[in-house]
Amino acid sequence: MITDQDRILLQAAADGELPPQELADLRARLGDSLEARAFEKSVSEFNTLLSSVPEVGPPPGLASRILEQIPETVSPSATTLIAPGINPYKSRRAWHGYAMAASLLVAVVIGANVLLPGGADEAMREQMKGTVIAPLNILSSSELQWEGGVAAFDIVSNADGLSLHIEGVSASPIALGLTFSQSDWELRDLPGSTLLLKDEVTTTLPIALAQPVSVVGNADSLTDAPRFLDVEYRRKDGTLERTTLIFRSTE
Amino acid sequence: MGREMERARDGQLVLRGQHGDKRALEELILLYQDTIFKLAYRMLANPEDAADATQTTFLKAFENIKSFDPKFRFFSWIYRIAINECLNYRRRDRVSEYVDESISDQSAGPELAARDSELQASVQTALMTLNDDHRAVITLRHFGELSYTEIASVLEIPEKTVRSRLFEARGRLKGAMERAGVTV
Repeated sequence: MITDQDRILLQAAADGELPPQELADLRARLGDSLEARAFEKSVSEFNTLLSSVPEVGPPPGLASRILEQIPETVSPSATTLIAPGINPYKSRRAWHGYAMAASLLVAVVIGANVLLPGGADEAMREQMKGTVIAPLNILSSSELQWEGGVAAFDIVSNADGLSLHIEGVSASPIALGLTFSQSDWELRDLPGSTLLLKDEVTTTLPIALAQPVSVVGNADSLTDAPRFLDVEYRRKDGTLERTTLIFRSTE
Repeated sequence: MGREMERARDGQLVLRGQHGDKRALEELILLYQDTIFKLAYRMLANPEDAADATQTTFLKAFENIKSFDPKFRFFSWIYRIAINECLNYRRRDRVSEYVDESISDQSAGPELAARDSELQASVQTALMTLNDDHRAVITLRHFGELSYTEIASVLEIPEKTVRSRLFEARGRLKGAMERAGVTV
């Protein structure tokens, strides 16, 4: 005959939540009790039944609704803004044409200042207006596609060293979690491991390398360049997808 | 992504949010809106109330974000706010006893969808017969997929209490589901 206290411990065991010592003590005390086994099995079955209950997701537009309620007391975002029309990637991808055309139109009609967050002061506006990305040398590239969106990831070298350059468009907001996984390289100081992709985003994340490297500026001289990037992204139905992008030399 | 990586990521986002970076707050919303909504829906059984509670949860969290210490877990904090918000909703009697049967996955085919819909409704009806403490612990464990330690942290109760409360709550839920015709 097992007690309620035993059942509480058996339930924790079925949940995988009983520390090893307590588990060993419990097993030793209950031995081959059929009642205990049957109870543990029933907990597992009940857990399985509950896990089969369909997931529910938030209504569309909830995130925007919440965002609208947040007071506009924000500082400029860390995202590098690249003036439309001078983007070195412009002609590289077919999908990019649509996105850039749209942003160019907006910029021409309203002016470049529209790209700045509302709270930016005048000095910052001046500084941002002059932001121009230096010519980039693309070492390797990869692309990620999902329903309603696509993003291109490039390892690039410029005067500042190596960077991960990301350009993407998405029909609905998507959060990309980024983790480098190249075994020979340790990459650090990647500011923010999650990137929000909403509408259109162009951003450059500097990569600090943990070991010295000579980057001359072409793919051949960077044979050990980061080649894998793990990306996690949440689909519209809420499921989390994980994929590893393989970078290929652009040469 | 492991819990520790999530913690580091959240810590960074919170830090940026504390310095007024709205994009960081936006990222936190995108990362947690599904889980918070799911939790609120299980607590309130009504998608509209759940959406309102989710919205209030984030707004309260962001209102107080400057007082949050990033060395603690953001998700424990926001889950706690969400649970309290749901309890407030119920106390204010703003919750209609309504179970939405339309949320099941219709793409799975009509028979599967019908079965899912039935299970969804039965489980939700049974959940609503539990008291707040029991519903919270079941929701966090089964629909939030939290460990006992995490539940203890969110509910601010000892881990041993989580064990006993979960045991009691499961027993009651099982009984309610059987009464609702689900073979358990």
